[in-house]
Amino acid sequence: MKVLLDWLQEFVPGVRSVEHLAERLSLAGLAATAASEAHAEADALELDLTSNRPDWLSHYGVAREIAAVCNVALQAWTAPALPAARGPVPVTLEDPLGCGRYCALLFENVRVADSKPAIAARLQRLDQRPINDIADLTNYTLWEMGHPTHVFDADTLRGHEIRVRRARKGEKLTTLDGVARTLDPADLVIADAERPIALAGVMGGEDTKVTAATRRVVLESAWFDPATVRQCARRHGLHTDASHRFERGADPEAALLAARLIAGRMASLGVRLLGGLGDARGHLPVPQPIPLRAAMIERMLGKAVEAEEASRSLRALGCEPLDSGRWLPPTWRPDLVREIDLVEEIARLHGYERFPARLPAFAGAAEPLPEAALRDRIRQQMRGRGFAEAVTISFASEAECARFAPEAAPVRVLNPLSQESAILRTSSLPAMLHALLENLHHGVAAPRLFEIGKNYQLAGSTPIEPRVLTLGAVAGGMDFPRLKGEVEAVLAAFALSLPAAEPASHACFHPGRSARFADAALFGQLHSELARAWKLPAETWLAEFALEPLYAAGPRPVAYQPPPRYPASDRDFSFQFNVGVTWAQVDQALRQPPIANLESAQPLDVYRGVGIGGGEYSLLIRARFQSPERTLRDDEVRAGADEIARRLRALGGAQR
Amino acid sequence: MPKSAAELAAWAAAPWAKLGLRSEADLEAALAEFRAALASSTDRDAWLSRSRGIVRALTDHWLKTAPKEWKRALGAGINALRDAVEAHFAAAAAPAADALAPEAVDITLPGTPALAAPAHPVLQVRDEIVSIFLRLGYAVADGPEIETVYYNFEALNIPAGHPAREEQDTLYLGPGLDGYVLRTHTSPVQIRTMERRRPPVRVIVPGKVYRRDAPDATHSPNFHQIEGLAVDEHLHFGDLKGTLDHFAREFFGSGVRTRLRPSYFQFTEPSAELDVSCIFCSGRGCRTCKHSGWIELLGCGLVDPAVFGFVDYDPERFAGFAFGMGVERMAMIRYQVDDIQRFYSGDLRFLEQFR
Repeated sequence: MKVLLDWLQEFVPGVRSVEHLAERLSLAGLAATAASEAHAEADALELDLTSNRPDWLSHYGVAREIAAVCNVALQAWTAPALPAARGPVPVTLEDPLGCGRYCALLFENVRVADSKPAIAARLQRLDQRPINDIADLTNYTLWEMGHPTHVFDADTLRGHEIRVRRARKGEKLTTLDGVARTLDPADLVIADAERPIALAGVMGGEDTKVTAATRRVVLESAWFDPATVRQCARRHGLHTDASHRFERGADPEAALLAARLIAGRMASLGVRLLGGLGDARGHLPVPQPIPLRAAMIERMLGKAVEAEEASRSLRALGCEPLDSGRWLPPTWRPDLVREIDLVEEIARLHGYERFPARLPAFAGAAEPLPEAALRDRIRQQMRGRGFAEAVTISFASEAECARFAPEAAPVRVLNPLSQESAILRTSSLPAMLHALLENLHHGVAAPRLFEIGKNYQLAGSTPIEPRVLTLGAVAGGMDFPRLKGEVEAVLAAFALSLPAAEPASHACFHPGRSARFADAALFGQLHSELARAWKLPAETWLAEFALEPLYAAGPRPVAYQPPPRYPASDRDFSFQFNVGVTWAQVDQALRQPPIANLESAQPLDVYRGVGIGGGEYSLLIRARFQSPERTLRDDEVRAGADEIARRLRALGGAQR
Repeated sequence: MPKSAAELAAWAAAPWAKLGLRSEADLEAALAEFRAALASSTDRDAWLSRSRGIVRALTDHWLKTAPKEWKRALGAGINALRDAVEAHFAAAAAPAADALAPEAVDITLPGTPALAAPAHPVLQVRDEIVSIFLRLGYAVADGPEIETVYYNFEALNIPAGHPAREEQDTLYLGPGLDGYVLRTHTSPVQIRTMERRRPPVRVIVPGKVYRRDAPDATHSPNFHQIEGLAVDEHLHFGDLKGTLDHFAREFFGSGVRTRLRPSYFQFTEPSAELDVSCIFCSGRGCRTCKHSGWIELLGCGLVDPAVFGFVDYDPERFAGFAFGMGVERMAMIRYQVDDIQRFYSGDLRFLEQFR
């Protein structure tokens, strides 16, 4: 919000420099920056207001704060008394909870014209559009003293009466913004004898607005219940200067003052008061006494504030001292209710910088998150293997996620920013693909990324947020065995015994180059169709780990084995197999029944191509024989090697 | 005629009594035979093997069985022979310097990049902030991102209908998830922590939070926050000041100054914003600090007694302070990153600068 220095000076004549004011106000809680306008004499303050201080929403309100903070005198209002008039405007208040007070005045001899230049200029400097002298008066008064008011063309009202009531089902009202609205029975409206003419505290009606033809007007100056106004404004998607103030809590004592101020200004336009004050009262909030203990000030602030200073601060803010240390807050401060509210006022006027700082001592041990060490170990591992850490957003397109996690029930956002962010992601893989793509677009040829994040879904009707690790790599020599090695390296850190890898059987992955380790990890090459659709290279590799079971298993405990003391003997075997024979079968054949002294058998090379018949492949296996007790004799190793060759032949292998 | 290696080995394994050496000259002559054979030998192990080498055999068989009066001379002779053997094979092993010349490389060529990738800058900053508070004795806590309205608003003294609820541009969830929102701050974990523990409490809560903000250079619908909470008997405003001042100097360097400005949050009172003296101009005024000399860092305050009411802490006995900061904001300030979206792109040209 912007306030003008020359306008402030009408209430606090002593103030000069906006820079100085900005500094003082900011350090007292009213965030302000000096904003010099185009013409040098027209200094202004740009304010960043907090929602607890509706009393700052006008020049007078800001001046009142300046007076308290800078300890300068504040000009009191001189609102003229209302001139004599005929009987009061008839006002019926049917909803005393929604409307605490409704003041109405009837004026005649209206000749609608443009506002005087002084008024129009001020409104324009506040980025307000001058409309006509009558409407501008209400707006000017709003920016001056903070209370929203409204004028109706009196001759458009049916039945010449004002009723404040809830809307009836199906009632319609075209508001000043030109929108025809169907009203909700919870909407508080101003009505004439027949129909709604305004949304109370939000916006007036089109049919009853002041026009060039207007000769008589009804002025409304009321106090509406904050929650009622807020709900009505929200229902209708409206946010107006009036609703902004009423929903934060307008000053209940300001309604009559605003009416008198405007009446006085009407007179200067030649407008005459015809109908006297119609004044209906409902339930108005009444400030309650607040007890304040000096000990409380010291306990909360760590330093005693002199009673005299505390008292001066509270008085400067408009609080009245009562008996036995109690204070009565002013009507414009709905935020002052409790002892701590007064303590805060005393603290901010004392100056936060004047309280001594200390670093508190604590007993007891610091406690990291239980999984932090495991999580950080994965992060270090991945980085050490060349995967950069990414952070992607949690939102996703439902269509993208549905392909990767078809079974997950997504958590939907009711008010998403876009269709691309309509759900919380059920799979981290689309976000990873987007990140890989981003890199390819920028010419990073072989990106490798990992992310530790969450997926989100419904388990029944309960939202869950399982943590996941995601790997992504394009080209750069990545292939299935290397990716499997990455996956196994992650899993190896945890005390988890997983079955052998099984086919992934996942529609998003290459059917022959993807696998899973139970529910712990899914990995492989992106399906070629998806790669094409995403405009990604065929050599796009992904892995997603469920971290919850890994964290639950905890770190793999170290079980120390003394290194072997006696030398090992290695023997290599080159066999040719049908492609139907898998390594798992070979491995199983060599393990069961156990071969004496066979320490390990590893595939060294797998080759298909020139020199090997179609449907066949050659496999080079290195077997290692070793005994913990002694050096093996040649004949023992030879016997083991013969057994290996026999079993490989039994699997259909042909020795090369 | 030098003896063969096998002959020498057998001779060296002979006990003293069979050698028939009668004078120092005989001994010198015998050792000379070994030296002569050494000149043409290329089998280092035959001489120096710990178990089977000639030098070892001489020590084991000649020296150990020699009469006492011979031992001194024999020992010196064997030592001299060992030195000669080692020198002979060391010379043989080391090619002449000019023989290595063709193997020289251009040492000014860049090193092959090692396989090491960076941690994410936001998470680096998160970890650093968390560790500052771990050193102060705080525990780390976390909570769900899909949070109930009760924890996100109600128990933080933000009742339905309060403008503070609307100011946060909340993302609501559903259908079937009435009462849930995407948490707008990490503050709900304050409540969850206080429900679980009695004072003294001191926790630091890193986590992802959400706002309905369209992405631009300074806004993202999700970002990271770190919340802090300390509750105990005898804590007061000065502890808040001291703790945050310590934090700012740990994070930005011991040269920075801090100040608290009154502000407003529903769940703290008194509330404040923490400013830090501009780290780029040391408070003299520059573009980054908009010539104010100060950079706004985070929101904080004493825990509002109403919040204690929700967790059944006695506000007459306990007091505490809380603070919350945006991690991206801290990273942007420190590294002068101009666009928050860079953090979420996965762009390696950006990420790799934060090694």
